[in-house]
Amino acid sequence: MVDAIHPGVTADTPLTAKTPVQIEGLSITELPFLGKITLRGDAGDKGFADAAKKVLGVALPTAPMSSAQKGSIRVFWKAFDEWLIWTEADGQTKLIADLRAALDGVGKAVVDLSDYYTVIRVSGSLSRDLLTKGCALDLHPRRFTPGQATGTGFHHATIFITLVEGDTFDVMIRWSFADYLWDYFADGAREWSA
Amino acid sequence: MFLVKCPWCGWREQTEFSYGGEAHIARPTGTDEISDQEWGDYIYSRKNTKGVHAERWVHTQGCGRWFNAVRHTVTDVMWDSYKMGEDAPNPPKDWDGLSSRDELEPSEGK
Ligand SMILES: [Zn+2]
Repeated sequence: MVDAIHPGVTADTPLTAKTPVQIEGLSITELPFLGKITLRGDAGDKGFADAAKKVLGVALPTAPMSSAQKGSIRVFWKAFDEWLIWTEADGQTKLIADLRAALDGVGKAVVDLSDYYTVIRVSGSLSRDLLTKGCALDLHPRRFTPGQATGTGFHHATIFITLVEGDTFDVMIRWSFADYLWDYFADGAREWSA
Repeated sequence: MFLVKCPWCGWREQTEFSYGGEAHIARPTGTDEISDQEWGDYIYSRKNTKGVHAERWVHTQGCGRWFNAVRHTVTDVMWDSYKMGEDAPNPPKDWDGLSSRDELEPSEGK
């Protein structure tokens, strides 16, 4: 809930009513209201790349599945001409304005996705065991390393997943699929519940 | 189910992708003049190949980009994929359709 940001107003996500999973070796919590932005443009265009770097504080990653971070801003390679940017809750408004100003006259798209997705954090020594119940991606620490990120599937849901560090994953899910994914995670965790 | 190779993201489960049919079918020019037969061929006529087939795929759940790929339609093994505008990578004439290029030539990439 973000009543501190908009006094007197509370906001819910589809997961607000869910109880976080906290068991031995596994934690499942929501990271609600992260700012989420799609940035599209030509990474080979110096005007575009330089202006984006100036605003984000870090160069746009150009290797597939890679990402870059500066403070609370995380920039993920989404495709060769597309990046996904996460920032702190409700931080997107200023960042979008800054990006649009810096990229004025440059071919680009800057789109606010903040309320289209939410993010679930899965961490603990059992996180890979849980995620592989519905995700075919190879999540072995040798194959999927910290900072790597990609779109993939979790059973019927389309997700975007990144390894933050160690065994902590952030999973971005469409607002309308969040309930499904959360329940799948919670159900998958039952075999380890006391 | 089989594996599909995205030119950017690498080998992934087929369910991450959508199929786009035969590749390299050019839209006819002079569309005011061509016959119904030519339009019909452009829209409907496909090779229905048994064996090596160049086809379009899109990495729906991943990077979302379209690309082309060469797949053996009997074994469903993908030889390799390539970006739009590039020439199709042809497998050897004696390819048995059982191993991908990355398996036969591991140095070529991952
Ligand atoms: Zn891809």
